[in-house]
Amino acid sequence: MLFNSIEFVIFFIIVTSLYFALEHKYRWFLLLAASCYFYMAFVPVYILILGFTIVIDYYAGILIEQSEGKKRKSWLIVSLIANIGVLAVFKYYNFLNDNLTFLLGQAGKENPVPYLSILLPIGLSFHTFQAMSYTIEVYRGHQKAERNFGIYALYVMFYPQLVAGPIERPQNLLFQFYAKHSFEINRVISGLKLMLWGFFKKLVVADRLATYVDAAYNYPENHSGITLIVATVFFAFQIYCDFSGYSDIAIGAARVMGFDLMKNFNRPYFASSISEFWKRWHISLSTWFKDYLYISLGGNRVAVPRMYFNLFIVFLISGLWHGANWTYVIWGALNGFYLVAAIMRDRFIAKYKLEIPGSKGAAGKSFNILFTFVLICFSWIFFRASNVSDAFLIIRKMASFDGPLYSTYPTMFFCLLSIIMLLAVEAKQEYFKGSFSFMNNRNPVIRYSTYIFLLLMILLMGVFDGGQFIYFQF
Amino acid sequence: MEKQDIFRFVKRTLLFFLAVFLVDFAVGQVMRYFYFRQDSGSLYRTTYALDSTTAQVLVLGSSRASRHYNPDVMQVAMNRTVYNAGQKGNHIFYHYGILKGVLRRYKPQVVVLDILYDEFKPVQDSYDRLSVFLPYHDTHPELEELINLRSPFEPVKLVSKVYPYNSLILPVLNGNLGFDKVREPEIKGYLPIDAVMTDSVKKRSERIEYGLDSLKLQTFEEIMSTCKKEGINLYVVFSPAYLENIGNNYSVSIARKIASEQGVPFLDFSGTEPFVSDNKLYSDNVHLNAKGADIFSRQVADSIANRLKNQN
Repeated sequence: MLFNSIEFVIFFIIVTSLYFALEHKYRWFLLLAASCYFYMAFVPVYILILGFTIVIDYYAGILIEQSEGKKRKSWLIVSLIANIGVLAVFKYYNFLNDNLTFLLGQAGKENPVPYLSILLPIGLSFHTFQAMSYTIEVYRGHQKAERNFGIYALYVMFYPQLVAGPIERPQNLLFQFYAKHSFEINRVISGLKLMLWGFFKKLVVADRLATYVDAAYNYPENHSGITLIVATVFFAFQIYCDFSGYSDIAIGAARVMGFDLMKNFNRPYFASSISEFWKRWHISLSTWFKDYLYISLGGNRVAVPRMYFNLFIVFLISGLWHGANWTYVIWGALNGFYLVAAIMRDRFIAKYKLEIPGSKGAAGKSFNILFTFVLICFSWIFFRASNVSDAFLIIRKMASFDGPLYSTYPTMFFCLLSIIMLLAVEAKQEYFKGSFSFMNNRNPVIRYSTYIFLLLMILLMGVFDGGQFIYFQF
Repeated sequence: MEKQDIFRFVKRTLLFFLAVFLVDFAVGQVMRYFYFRQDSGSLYRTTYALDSTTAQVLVLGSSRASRHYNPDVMQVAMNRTVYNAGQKGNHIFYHYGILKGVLRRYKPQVVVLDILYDEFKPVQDSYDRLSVFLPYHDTHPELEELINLRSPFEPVKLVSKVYPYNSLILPVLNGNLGFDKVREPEIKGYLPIDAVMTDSVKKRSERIEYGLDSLKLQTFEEIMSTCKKEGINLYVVFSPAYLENIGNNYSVSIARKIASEQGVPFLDFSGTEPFVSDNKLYSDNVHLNAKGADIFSRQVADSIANRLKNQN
């Protein structure tokens, strides 16, 4: 079930109403049943895969807690193998097989390994990572093993964040299923406001920009360098609004029912460096990799060259996490390279106490924000391109910086207007936090007028035929 | 406390939705006023086709229809009034909608249905594009069935008075200010192109067989049966394209077969001179320019006129 559908609106109203109508002791069961229904609205049979990992991880958690020494570690390994195994089969098997076919083809041989005719289960990478965070935390002793199977299943399947995050940690979410959430009007309205803003981002900004981006990126050979530059910038905003819009709806929907999910985005395009960008973008995944991979590899406690290597590897894997395609691997590698280069530069500047002229003050910060945005946009080319050769074709065409701009005037008008509205709101949130607010204004007329304005914008400018959220495929 | 909060929330929600309803109604009325006040542009052409034309010959089709059939040229050859109701980006559902809308008012003598290559290919866009009929949902109940093909929730969405005008602010503004009168002048629905195709290399269109969209096939058959029932002379036409083997396109073959089964004339211009060899008659591979359109309009009108004469 897509968030941007009437079905979801009806589903949300029914589930939330029932949630508050039911006694506390039955609520977890309602949420679990609703989450199953939500997930099964995509491809029903894939709930079995989810069920498989849930059963393994549930028992693995208990066994880890009850065991000591090597046994404890071996149960963790069982859990990790089950989760990574599911990912490997459903997400990476055909990709690896493709590469094997290519390599054997180079040697003039045929690949005897058969292809699997399977669809990638929606949001697989998200819920497997969330499940892994549970067993790892139990292993580390930061979390007690959950004894109630239903509650554990709900931890993995909680419908607002089931298919595209935020990837939660057990310490933050599990206990909330035991807490009694009463109907608090301010919290409910705050959740609904966040959902409204999420819908605006998805329907008005992301899906509108997608019409231009798809036209350019699906047929890059037919488009000029200028068009591809514009499409790449548009894609940067599209993917941000698509994904952060989803996160806002997820966090908002959970908040209405009394649950606090972690923040996933913090106005990333106002970052003035690559490392800051990664602290603001897909925070739940970045911190997952930091907590469970980067630190496990030694983190900052190793020699400097090894630390650079660790960072690079983490980003490479992060790229692969996004999709089984070399484009994502290159995207990850590029970001890893950016980050390592930025750290090396910072260390060099600190070591020799260098002062870069113009690097401070508003102008310097603006330049850094713009430079970071350009670097990120460049990496998005690989993220969005259908394949590596398309990505390089796009870069070559962009470098030529010529040709006519593909544009139908309503598309361009709506695209630019939606970006301007987004940036205006985010710039206000970033730089004028305590100042005048429309959505949180004390005056109810201004506040409610803003909600109505946003709804009207969605009705007038939203794309209602837009597709699913980009991150569902991960 | 909780009950109080729930009560307050319900009260505020009701008030909020009342305000939304009023604003939506007001903005929707403004949009509606300006929508139907247009006197040029593509939206206006749909309104004109549905509500005003009384032409004896009606041309239905996509952008290829709107670019290929010059009513002035056809009128001379056919001795009948002609209106070109072709609309870019639209497919068989749209053509059926226009026919249904027109039949509420009058019965044209001849309908020319210009079908598209890959007309029956399952493409979501064909359904999405039916949004073009949303502004007419309350004045043209015959379009309801087609509108509902977009999604089962269209009646719910149409509670909003603004929703039918989604994404139409600029086109409506344009239709009121008349920019298209200068930028893209029309002649009875016909939109000539002056550009001449520069690439003389004729690309090959490979025949690819795909799963056919059964709803589109059904709609095609319904157009034929409606015309038969109403006593309208229907001609299914595949107009020229500068592509090798395009006449062998899977959808075109299917259309030819169904038309033959139903006893409807199918006029195939995919292999007709001078269109097969002269790229100067095109603006691109699939659209004739004004010069090509005049020659084609003459040919197709002559062909239909002769058939009508023989019929009588």
